[in-house]
Amino acid sequence: MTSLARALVVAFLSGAAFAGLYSSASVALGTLAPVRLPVWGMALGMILVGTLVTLATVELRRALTEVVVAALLGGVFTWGLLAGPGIVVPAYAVRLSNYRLTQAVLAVLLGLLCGLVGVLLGAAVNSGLRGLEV
Amino acid sequence: MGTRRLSWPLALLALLAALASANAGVAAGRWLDVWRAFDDLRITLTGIEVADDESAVLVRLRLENGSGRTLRLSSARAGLWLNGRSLTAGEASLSEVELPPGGRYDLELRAGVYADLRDYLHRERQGGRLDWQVAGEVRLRVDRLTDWVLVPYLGTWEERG
Repeated sequence: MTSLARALVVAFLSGAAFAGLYSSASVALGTLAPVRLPVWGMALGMILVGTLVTLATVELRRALTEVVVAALLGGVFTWGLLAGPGIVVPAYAVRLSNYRLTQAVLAVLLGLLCGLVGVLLGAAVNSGLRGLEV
Repeated sequence: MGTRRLSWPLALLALLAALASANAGVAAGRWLDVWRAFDDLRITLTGIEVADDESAVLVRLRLENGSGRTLRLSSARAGLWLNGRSLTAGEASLSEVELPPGGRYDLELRAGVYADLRDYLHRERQGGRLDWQVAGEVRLRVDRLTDWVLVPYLGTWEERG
């Protein structure tokens, strides 16, 4: 597998994981989000994704790029997931139009925030435990 | 550098992506049920009346839950338009009233009447007819889901003076 193809696979898998984690926890978001378990599960899952990307990629600059692309892809997948009911039942499309864009933007922001924290963690593991230069 | 790369993080990432996507699929199915429940909520405008002292316009709504799920109502709003002009709005907090499947709930929203609206009402009533348009929304959630959704409604009411 070429380097670019591998990077795309990593970004695609991470994007799918971001979208999946966000969509599963989105019903628990709201004013009391920080005290809800699904939200913590989502944040920790996204951090794990960032860490795994860095462990799999080694190079910090490439890992950062992959996580940013993955967060954007996560937003696109979330949008697609919420567009689904609108495609199945056209009557829902109008009601979902603003909602799914808001959710997609939130998914991108949370993916970026938690993913980049994960990259830092992965870089620390790479340099501290594995003795690699970052 | 290539020899230092680990393969298990990529495998773990693929597993995580598969699990999270499957879970998201289940969540999307649940949302489809929720939208169906909202679709089966009927909001009807049952009356509009100006209070005797002309301090408020009272908007009466009937909510009927035609879905098989319990709906929890948080708040309701009615924006009042008169002959195409936005004039006032009424809001009510419903403190998570439960509307069981097949249940019905009548509520009254009180929209304040201010000096300019009072003059306008007098003028329009002398003309013999008032056409109210109501554009509002009800905030609710389904079963135990924590996410609230606004369900919009539109209504018209003709009053002959």
